[in-house]
Formats: sequence, structure tokens, C-alpha cells
Amino acid sequence: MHISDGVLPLPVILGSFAVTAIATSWSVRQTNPENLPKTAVMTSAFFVASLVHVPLGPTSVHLLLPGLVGIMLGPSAFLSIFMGLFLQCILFQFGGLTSLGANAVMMGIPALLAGPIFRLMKGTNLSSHIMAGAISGAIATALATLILALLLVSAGEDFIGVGKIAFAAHLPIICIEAIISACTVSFLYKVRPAFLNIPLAKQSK
Amino acid sequence: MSILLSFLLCVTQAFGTELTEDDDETNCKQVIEMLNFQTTEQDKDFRFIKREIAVLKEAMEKPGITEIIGGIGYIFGLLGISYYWHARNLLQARKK
Repeated sequence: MHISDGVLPLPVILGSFAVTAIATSWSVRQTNPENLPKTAVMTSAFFVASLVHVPLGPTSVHLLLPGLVGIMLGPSAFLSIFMGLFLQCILFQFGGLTSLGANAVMMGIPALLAGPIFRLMKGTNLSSHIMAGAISGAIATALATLILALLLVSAGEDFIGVGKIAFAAHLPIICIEAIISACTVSFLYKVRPAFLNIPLAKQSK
Repeated sequence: MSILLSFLLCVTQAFGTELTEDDDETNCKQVIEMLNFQTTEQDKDFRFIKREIAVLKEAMEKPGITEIIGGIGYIFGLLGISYYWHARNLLQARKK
């Protein structure tokens, strides 16, 4: 789902870099240093997740994990995803350096939204946690697909056509992500519930 | 090499028997047949090698275990350094 170099027009590239810079600095400010090890683990998970391919006819789509990153990290999710994408671009050549801003916006904004959605729907018992995890995972991936379609529209494609294709191609990924998020949330609820209580913004002491 | 071989063949044929025009034509036809057969065999080999190169190129583009370990190392390194600074500041604040 990474956009490559040379697809997007210059204004979109510059605008997305500006949004990425603002969101990254906000994310860095909101990061509680105590959460850095967890951020490192989630960034690594996001970094490696794109290697898991789901074959779809002639091509394949890959796992994304913006929902899980958003659930676990809250506000630091944007920084985590930006770091993961930057390293993927440099080491794997996934997506181009010029479209790094657009890719970060595409996957970071849904991750930032998944945190509050999970927090709202969390409830107090295991089944509501699982439901909240599944729904935020699915919504985050669907949002990422929507933003991808919007970005490709700016490159001159027809929105309805691209939107339908992108959504249809990523439907298996949306289902898989919902399952993965639900399983992870249920495991953490039983083993380490403190991990799931991420504040929405840094509390000033 | 094959041209030399075919030339020698023609020459020995010429010294061995009394040459007629028919003999010449048959020998040349045989030589041409041998050359064509050799070319098809070489074409098969070249096609096989080209297929191997294409498969190799595709395999080279995939990220290997080296890149994965490198990326994870970068992540833990960068975040580890910032965690270290935070711990250092905490310790210094505690000392005062």
C-alpha cells in the first residue's frame, strides 16, 4: 500500500511533508519517555509487518497494523509509524523518499484515530475490549485505504474507481487486522492490562 | 570452432574421394544442418540462462534477513538512546 516515487504531484508531496512534520513534532512532545520500550517494540512490529503478504490473484497485498500501533501507543503512534516507514524506505525500498510524507499521513492519521476510538469503546470486561480492538483495527485500516484513494485522486485518478479497487483489494487485510488486534488486546487484557491504558495526551505534572 | 571443423570435413572429403558436384552439395548441406542444430542447442542454453537471471533479479529485490535485523537494530538503538537520556536526566534530578 506504500505509494512510490513519481506518482503524486508536487503540491501534495509538500503538503503531506508539512502535515507529517507537524504531527511528528506533536507526537514527540506527547511521548512519555517511560513508554519508549513499548514504542520500540511496536515500531519493530510495524516495520516487519509489511513483509507478510496476502496473495490476491495476480498480485498481493501486505499487512499494515496501523490499528494495533494506535491502540498500544496512543499519541506516540505517529512517531512510531513515521520511523517505521522511513526505515522501510531506506532499507527495503518500500515506497519512495519523496512520498514518505504522503505514506506517513496515510498510515499515521488512522493510527492516531484508532487510539481514541479504542479508548471510547473499551468498556470494562474482556468481550468489550475484544470488540473495541477488532473495530478500531478494522476502522484504522479502512481509513488508510480511504486516504490512499484520496491521494491517488490528486494524482489524476478517478476516485470512485480507485476507491472501489483499493477497498476490495484490502478487504482481506481489514478482516485479518481486526482479528489480530482483537487477539492481541485479549492477550494483553489477561496478562498485562496496564498496557492498554494509554492516556490520550500527556498529563502535565 | 565449428566453422573450422566443417572446413576440415570438407577438405578431407575432397582429398579422400573423387569429387563430383553432387558430393559437394551433400557435404555442404550436412555442414549447414550441423550448424543449425548447434545454433538451436545454444539458443536453448541462452534461454535457460536468461530465465535464471530473471529469477535471480527478483530474488535480489526481496528484503532479506539482514535488512530486517538492521532495521530493528536502528529502531531499538535510536529509541534506546533517547531512553538513556531520559534516565540520565532523572538520575541527575534525583541527585540534586
